[in-house]
Amino acid sequence: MRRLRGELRKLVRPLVLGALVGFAVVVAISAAVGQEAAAGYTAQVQAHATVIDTWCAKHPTRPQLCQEQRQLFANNVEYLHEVVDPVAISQTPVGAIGFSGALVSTGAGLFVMLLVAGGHVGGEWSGGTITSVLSQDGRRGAFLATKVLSLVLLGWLLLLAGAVSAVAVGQLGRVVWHELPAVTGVQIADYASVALLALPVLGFFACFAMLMAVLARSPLGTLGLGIAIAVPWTALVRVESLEVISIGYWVGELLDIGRYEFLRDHVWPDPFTGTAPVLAFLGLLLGSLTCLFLARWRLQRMDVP
Amino acid sequence: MVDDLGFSVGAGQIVGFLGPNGAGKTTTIRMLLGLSSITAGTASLLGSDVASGPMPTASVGAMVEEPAFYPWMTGRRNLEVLLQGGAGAPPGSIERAMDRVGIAHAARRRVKEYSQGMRQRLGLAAAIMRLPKVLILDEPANGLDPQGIRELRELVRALADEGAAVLLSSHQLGEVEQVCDRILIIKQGRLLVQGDTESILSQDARIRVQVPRHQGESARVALSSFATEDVGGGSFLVKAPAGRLVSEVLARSGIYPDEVALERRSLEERFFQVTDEGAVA
Repeated sequence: MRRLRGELRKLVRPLVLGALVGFAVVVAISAAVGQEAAAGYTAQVQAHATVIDTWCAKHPTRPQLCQEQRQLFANNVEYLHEVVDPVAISQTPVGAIGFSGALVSTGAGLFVMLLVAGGHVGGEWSGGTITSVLSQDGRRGAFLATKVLSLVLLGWLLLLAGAVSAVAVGQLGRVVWHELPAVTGVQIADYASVALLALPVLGFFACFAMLMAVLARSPLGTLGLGIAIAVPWTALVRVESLEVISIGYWVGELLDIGRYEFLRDHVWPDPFTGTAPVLAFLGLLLGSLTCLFLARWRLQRMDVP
Repeated sequence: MVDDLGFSVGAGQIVGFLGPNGAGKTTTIRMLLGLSSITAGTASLLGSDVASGPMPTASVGAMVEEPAFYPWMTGRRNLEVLLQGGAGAPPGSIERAMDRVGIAHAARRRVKEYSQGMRQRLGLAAAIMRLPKVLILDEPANGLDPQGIRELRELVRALADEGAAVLLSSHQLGEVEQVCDRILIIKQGRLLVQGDTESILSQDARIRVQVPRHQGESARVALSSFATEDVGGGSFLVKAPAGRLVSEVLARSGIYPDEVALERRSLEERFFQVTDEGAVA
């Protein structure tokens, strides 16, 4: 516990603060863009309703056509809810936390974790402090464990920073983009679960980033190596026979992230065929353990420069 | 690369660990600290095998070359996180250590504002803050001013007097000569010499004899049983077991020297002699 406190104190540095603020800004921009787009679409659909009403009033002799128009409009409204409801949910405080959870589970979250792990873990080598640290306590397993744990906690802090930002934008959005339809408590609760599901995803990101840092032993190297491995590993989801071992599958299936339309530009492909959240969770767990095992194996056999 | 190197450091002893660059001093120290792997042989600290058992970190303090710290933290905070990273220490250990190495005034300054000498002192503070039973110092005087070097010498002596076993690797041969009880000299990973500082320095020592100038020729004849170098002006360098023997020989010839003094080599001379010869002890 004392050792973990020491690692957490090391995280109090400009790089980490910048990463937290940067992520919060990304969340804010993403939320604002989504809300503006959703409000625009809602207004468009509502305007269409007025047009249909006007047309039907002017053409009482053509009820069949009017009926068809109304049916088409009803389909549009259904689609509107599908697209806009998640955005409306993200305007609520609880929904905003879910929004942050979804975003932190994408490449944006992994990027920040690699960035921080590069400084926090890889920087121990490039800055030469690894010698002092391991001279104080040579138990490398304990070193690895506390580093990973501190990264996991940082990931959760990232989620929190994003949530604060999303809540603020959501409250502002209710004033600025108030046209969004009302949502139910059930919808909000369902959506908020994403925040909880993001926790194991962040655990995996921490383990992966730790492994990259141990292999690269420098901040930039960690980032470069991490991206070089994470992108193809995520893209494996495109290969049907291998999708089950891809990061994209694990995260996408666990969070069912594809259904959130406001995230349609995210790095994860959508929609996934079938739902296999348990398999995805096991994949994440196995992936995390593999990363930890490899990091420990490498660390144990490494001479400290 | 270190080969067939064996030595021990006892409690209260300061052992100087010398050798030219690349001799294997830092490698040896890294192996002792578990930073580098040992491919053959054993190394133990306080009875714990370095290769297999957990290092008794609470009892071992070390500074390897130029110590690195987290530049965005204060000196005190750096010591705190290092302390948290290993075995604990009694309350006030950090303050005492910083005070002892003379940087208590800079405790709340960020390390990035420290001079090289201050960082070196901070490294020393990190090494001694747990009051270790074993202290391993690799080039601790790097970047220290003359005052700092003197304080370092006094500090190391005081820690040894308190019972610590100190292994001191340094190129500051004058300092090593003054402070170390024993000396090891290695080259290319192999031990050349080890022994008490006094006996190492006394090896090849000569007796300098000054006789009245007009008795120079008589003295040269009287001292012919020893390997003697006539330096001129009635001065001789005699290789003899003790000054008393030389005095007796001269006295038997009716010569009473003005001065008889042991002239031993400095550690620097001895170091170069040993490393140039490269003979394995």
